Amino acid sequence: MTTIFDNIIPKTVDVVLTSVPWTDTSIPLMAVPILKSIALETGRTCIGLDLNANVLEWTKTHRYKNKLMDFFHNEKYHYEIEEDLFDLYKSFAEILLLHNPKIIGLSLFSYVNQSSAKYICYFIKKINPLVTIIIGGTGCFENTTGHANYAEELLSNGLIDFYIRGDAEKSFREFLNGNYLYPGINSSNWIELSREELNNLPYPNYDDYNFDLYELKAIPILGSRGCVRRCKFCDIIEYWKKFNYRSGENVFTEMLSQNKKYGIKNFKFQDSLINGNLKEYKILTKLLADHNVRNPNNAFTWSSYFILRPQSSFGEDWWEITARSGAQWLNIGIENLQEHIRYHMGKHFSNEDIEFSLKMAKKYNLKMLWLMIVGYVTETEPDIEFAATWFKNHTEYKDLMRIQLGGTLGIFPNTWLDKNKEKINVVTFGEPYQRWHNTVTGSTPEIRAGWERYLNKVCRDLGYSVVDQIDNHYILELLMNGKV
Amino acid sequence: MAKFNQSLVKLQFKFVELNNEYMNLNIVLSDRFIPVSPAQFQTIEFYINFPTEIVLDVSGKNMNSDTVLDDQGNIIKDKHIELTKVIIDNIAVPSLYLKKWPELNGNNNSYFGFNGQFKLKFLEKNSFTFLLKTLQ
Repeated sequence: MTTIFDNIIPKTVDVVLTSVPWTDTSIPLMAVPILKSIALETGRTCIGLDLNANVLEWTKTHRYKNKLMDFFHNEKYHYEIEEDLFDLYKSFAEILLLHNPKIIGLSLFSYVNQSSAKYICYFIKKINPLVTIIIGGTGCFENTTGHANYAEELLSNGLIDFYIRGDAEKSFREFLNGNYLYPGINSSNWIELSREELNNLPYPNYDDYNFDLYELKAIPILGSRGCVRRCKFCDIIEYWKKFNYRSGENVFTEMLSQNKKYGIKNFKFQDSLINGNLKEYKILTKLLADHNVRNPNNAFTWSSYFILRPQSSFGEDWWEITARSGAQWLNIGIENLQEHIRYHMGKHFSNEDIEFSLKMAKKYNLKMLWLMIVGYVTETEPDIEFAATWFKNHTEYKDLMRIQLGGTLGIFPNTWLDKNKEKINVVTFGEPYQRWHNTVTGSTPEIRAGWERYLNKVCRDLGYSVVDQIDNHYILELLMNGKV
Repeated sequence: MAKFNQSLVKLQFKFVELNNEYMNLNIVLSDRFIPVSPAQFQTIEFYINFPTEIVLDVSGKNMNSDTVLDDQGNIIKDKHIELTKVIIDNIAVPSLYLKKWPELNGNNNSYFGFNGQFKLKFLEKNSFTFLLKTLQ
C-alpha cells in the first residue's frame, strides 16, 4: 500500500492541490493544473497532484475491485477492504502533508469522490488539524444543480474549512487573497466566468503531473463552458446558463504554449462541445490546419465533445477542415437512433444527417465516439429493436466508431425531464437517478438495464467497439438485480 | 505523531421535560464522570481511547407520573432524553446506526425513556474502522 504514491516527491509549498479518487479517466484531470496556475499567480508556492491516477491504477488490479467500487459509489462497508481503506486514506493524507502546506485543496470531479474526500479530510485533520482544507468541483454537490448538503455537513462538522461552488478560477483566487465572502465560497450562489475572463485565464500548469500514468498522453484544454443546445435530459445547461467561449486564436495560442512546454501534441477538449460557436470553430480549425501543414513532425491532434449539426449548416467543407485541423475523436451525443426520440430530447438532426456525418467521417478518416442514452422516457421495445437493426445495417462504419451505451437514462434534478415528470408519466425515486418508472409505457430500471445489455451484445457481436466503463457496469448490475 | 486510537467524541442530547423537570444524565468514561446539564439541546465533548465502552447513566424518571396518556392510552407527554447526534473525529455517525446503538439490557434505542445505564460500545481499534462499521 505504501508504494501507491511512490512517484510523489514531497517539497515544502504553501498550497497542495489534488484530485480525489475515484474517477475513471484515461487522461489527466484539468481542475488541479488550472488552480495551480492561479495559486502561482497570487505568489503562493504550490504543487498540483493527480493522486486519483494512482488510486485508479491501484483499484483496477485490486482483488476486491467491486467492493471498492461499492464503497466509492455508495460508501458501503465491506470487511475485506477495511484495512486497505485505512492504509489508502492515511497514506493519501500523509503524502499531502509531507509538503508542509498551509492549504490543501481537494478537487472532486463527481459524486463518486465524496466518500474518499471525507475520509481523506478525516486523516488530514487527525494528523494536522491546523492545515486549512478547501474542497471544490461538481462532485461536492448532490448533483450538478442540487443542494450543498454534503459540503455543508463537512463544513459544519469541522472536516473542511471552505468549499467552492461553480467556476473556481475566480473564487479560488479570491479565497487565496483572503476574500472569503466572494460568491461561491461556502455559498451556493456563484458567478459564471465572463467571456473575457475565460479568454484571460492562465494556462493550466501540469509540471507536477506524470503523463506516463495515463492511458492516453493528452493535454486537456478548455474552449468553452455551457452549451448551445437545450436537451431535456441535460443539467449542464442549468449549471452554466450561458454559453461562453474562448476565441479560436486564444485556444490555439495555449495549445502552442503547452506543446512547447510538455512536448505533447495531442489535446483533449473539456468542453461540452467544441463547435458551439462556428465562427470561432472555423478560426481555430484553420489555425490548426495551417500549423499542421507547416509542422508535419509536430502536427497537433485533438479530440472533443462535438455536436452533430444538420448537413445544411455543417456541410462537407466543415468536415474537411475539421480533419485537416487534426481532429481524431469526435465525441457526439447521438443519444438515440430514432428521430422521434431525439426530437423529443431536443436534438434536431435527422437520421439523414447521421448518415452524412458517417460518410464524412469515413471519407476524412475521423473517429467518432457515440454517446447513447438507452431507455429514454418515451422509448419502448420496438425502438430498441430499431436501434439493433440500425447497427446491423451500418457495420461498414464499425471501424470508425466506438459506442458508449452508458448506464441508462438518469433523470437528474432540475432538468426539463425532472421538472415535467408528471406530464411525461414518469415517477422518480431519487438517487441513483436511473431509478424511475414510466407509468404508461411500463419502463423500469430493470427493463432498461436489460435493453442496454441487449444492445451491448448486439453491437459487440457485430464487431463494434463498445466502451467498457467500470462505473457504468456497476450501475447496470444494480439495476439488473433490482437493487435500486 | 497522530494517535489513531484517540478520538474526539461529541454527543448531542435532547432533553424533554415534564412539569419543568428533566431526567438526569451522567456520562461515565473509563477514567472520569461527566454530569450533563439538562437543556433542550446539549452537546458534550470528550476524548476516548479505542477500544472502550462508555455508559450513559440515566435517572430521574418516575414511571408512574412522568408519562401522560390520553383516554385511549396514547402517550401525549413523556419525560425523556434522546441521543440525537454523535460526531466522532468530525464525522457524524449515521442516524440509522445511532438509533440502534445505545444498549440497555440487550435492547437498543437512542430514546431514553427509562432509568438505567445505556452503553455505547466502541469496540474497534480506531475511529476510522468504527465509522466504517456504522455504514452497515
